[in-house]
Formats: sequence, structure tokens, C-alpha cells
Amino acid sequence: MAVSVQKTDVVRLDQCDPNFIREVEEAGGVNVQACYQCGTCTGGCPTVFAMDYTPRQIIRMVHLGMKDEVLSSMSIWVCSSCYTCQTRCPRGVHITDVMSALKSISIREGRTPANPKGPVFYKTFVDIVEAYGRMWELELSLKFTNKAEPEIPNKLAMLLRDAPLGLAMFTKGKLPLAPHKILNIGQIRSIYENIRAVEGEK
Amino acid sequence: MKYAYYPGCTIFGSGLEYQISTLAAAKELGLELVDMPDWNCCGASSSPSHGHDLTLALQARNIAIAEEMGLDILTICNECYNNLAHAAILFNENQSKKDEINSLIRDTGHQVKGTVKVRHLLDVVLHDIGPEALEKLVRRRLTGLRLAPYHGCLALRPPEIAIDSAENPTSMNQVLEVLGAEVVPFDKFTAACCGSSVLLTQEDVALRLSYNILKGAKDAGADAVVTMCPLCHLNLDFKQKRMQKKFETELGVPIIYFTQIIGLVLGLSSKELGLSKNLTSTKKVVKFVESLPFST
Repeated sequence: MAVSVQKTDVVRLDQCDPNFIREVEEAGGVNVQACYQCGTCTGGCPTVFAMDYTPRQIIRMVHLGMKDEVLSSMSIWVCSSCYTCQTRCPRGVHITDVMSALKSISIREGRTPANPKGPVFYKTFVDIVEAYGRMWELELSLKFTNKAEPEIPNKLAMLLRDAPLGLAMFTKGKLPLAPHKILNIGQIRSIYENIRAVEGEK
Repeated sequence: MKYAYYPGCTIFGSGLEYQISTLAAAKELGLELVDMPDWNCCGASSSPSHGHDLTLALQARNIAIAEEMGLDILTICNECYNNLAHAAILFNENQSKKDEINSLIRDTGHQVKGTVKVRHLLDVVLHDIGPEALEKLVRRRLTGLRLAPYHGCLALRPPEIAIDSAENPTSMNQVLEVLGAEVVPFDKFTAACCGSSVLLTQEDVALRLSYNILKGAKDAGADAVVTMCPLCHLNLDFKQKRMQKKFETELGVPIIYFTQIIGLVLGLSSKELGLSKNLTSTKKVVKFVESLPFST
């Protein structure tokens, strides 16, 4: 679902979703309603310089039900999950967990976020874990580049740019060419299957 | 001192020298690290993709394996530590969540009881071994070596899983001081985020954050930055050349695991500690340490 949202100073209440805050809480955004907008989170955020809305604004937008704006924002994908905001919050809002919850809702609903690389990364990561039970860095970086850079010249440019580093890692024995798959991979796949089944019931 | 050893997936690749040096140093430190049979990935920051329950279920299988061994889990990666510690606390405290996750892992043949603790190796060195016992093992003091201790985020925050103060940690400083090193002023950066989790998705952001940390270390006159997490390490070491290019500054700051530093002090060779595997050359530091006398 492609949503085109303009950053605006006007809040259109008729376009807000009153259930959004509950959805965020259910996805792990503990205490999101407790925020009193002091801005401590924004003050301490190391990645706020690259965000379109500050963490404080994101929380307020969740309160107001501005679902489309929040889920299409850059901010939720810029968050590096350092937990500084959550640690400092005087109201006990689990802000970092709110950001993770927003990412998960965005992915679940198939939104097209301001940074499409975000969902691509997470999906690639969990797919590799489902396949081998463990991460395989080479496949992660190759698959991520392939999916995140849709244009062929961009793909090639990325691969060429990363080749010397890859070679350096390879010569030091730090770039295995095969995954270290776990023995009982069926157990991991059963976990994924069970989670899909539960998700399907919701 | 015996633990169920959870090394994390980086040991097969980017974190190879962390594994090599951890195993070598642990032997000298008298830590018995028992391999966890068939451990799985902790999922790192994967939870957004399948919801929080996937992350918890991945921890649950590992925690159950450790419980079957009757041992607490020891990790060396901040991200693995954060995920495992979060889950262990939750399972120990919240019966209904534990039941829910146990249902998700029912086909694995494992079930979580909620009895084990999760520890980070740095915390174990400082609190289970302790400064006094560590000092007795020191074979050469690092007199004159200037080190920047870098703790990162995920073993410090959020507070419920923290091994130290969330923003003013001193664990690594204490260890390095016992080893006789000079700890450079680094308080502003020691718990600052390196941006590792957005390295692939927001490279500019990650490079900026890491550059600040390395510049801080360089300005403080550090001979090396000492790390305790393979993801921080990857970001600071692997991407250093790119930072140099982007910010047009010569960095050349060696990034060394605290296990490699401990190993050198205990008299292990640079080869036994994988010090040629670090990407930014560690030769100068190794040469300096090897020139230091062994205590009698």
C-alpha cells in the first residue's frame, strides 16, 4: 500500500485513527499513553539529526492517531535502538520499544516507508535465521544489497564499493562462504510456523 | 566458575578474533565455558519483522538448552546479551508470557522453566573473578599504554538488564586499570551509540556516530579503543576506512577486544589472541605490549 503523506502543521482529525495508540501498545509500546511531552527523549537521541519527526513528536502523533504519517516517517527507521530515550524517560514510556512496535506494524501492513531499506533489512535477517538457525553475514549483505538497490547499476556500484572490504575479511578468514547451520533446523522452522499460525488467528 | 557459553553468530565471521581471544583468555582466567549444544541465533534486532514474540521464542530455545545444562548463560556480544537477558528476566517474572512463548516453542522439545541468569563476560571478569584475583594473574602490566574503554549501548540499557550504570559505566575502565593501562578521558563516548543496528539501512547515520567515537578516542590520545561487542567492533573497525574517506580525516585507531588485551597481559601471544584478524592494524599496540617486561 503506497501512501503519500505531506509533512504538515495541520492535524486532520477526520484522518486520524483513534485505535492506533492501542495497536501500538499491543505491539509492545509499553506506557505510550503516559508521555507528557517533556522532550527528554529528543534531547538525548543520537540519531535525531536524521529524523523527519523527533521522538517526542512521534509519541504525540501516536496519541493523536496519526497512523499514516507515523508509519510513513523516516524517524522510525532511523532509530538505532540505543535505549537512551527509554532509560531517561521520566514517565516510564518504553520509547525504544514503541519505535520497534511501529516498525513491526509498518512491516505487517506492508507500508512503503520513507526508508524502504528498513523493512528489507529486517525481513532478510529473519529469513536467513529461519533457513539456517543462525546468521550468515555474507548472504545477509548480498541479499540486502540485491533487494535494497532495485536498479542494476546501483547494485553493481554497491558490490564494487564493498568488494575490497569483503576481500580483506575473506583473507583474514572472517567471511565464511557457507552458513553454519544448526543441526535441528526443523525446531527453528517450527517456531516460525507456530508464530505465523498465531498471527493468522489474530 | 562454569557457564553455558553462548558465543553468537558473529564468531563464524566478523567476530572471529573475539571468539579466539575469549577461549584463550578464559582458559587462563579459570573460566570453564561449556558449549551450548545446537544454540540458535538470538535474532539480533529482528523483532520488528515478525513481532516481539519471535525474538522471545528464539531466546526461549537457547535459555531452555542452558537450563537443561544446569548452568547460567555467558555471552560476549552486547546484542545477544540484551536479547537473552531481557527474555530471561521476563520468563523468570511473568508466568503467562512464559507459557505463551513455551507454546510457540512446543515442537522443539524444549521448554523454559525460568531459572537461569544471563551474564556478559565483562561483568563476569569484574564480579565473578574480581579485580584482586585478576591482578594476581597479571604477568605484565600495561604501563604507558593509553586505552579508550568503549562499552556501547546494549549491555547498559535499558536499566533492567544493565551490567553497569546506563550512562556512566566504569566496568571496562576498572578492568583496564587493574591491567596497569592508562585509561584516557572517554566518558562522553564510552556509552554513546555507534549506530551499528542501522549500518546497512542508514549508513550515513552509522558512519557519523562511529566517527564521533573514533575522533573522541583520537583526540584523547588513545593508542586503541577497547570493545566488548562484535557489532560495535564491526562498525568501528570494518567501516573505519570509509569514515576516513567520508570525513577526510586520518583515523587509524586500532579497535581491540578486551579479551585480546587481557590475553596479552596474561602472557598469551598475539597469534593466540587473533590480533592479526582485526582490520585496522594492531601491530603498534602489540609491539609496545611485547616490549613490556614480565613481572617476576
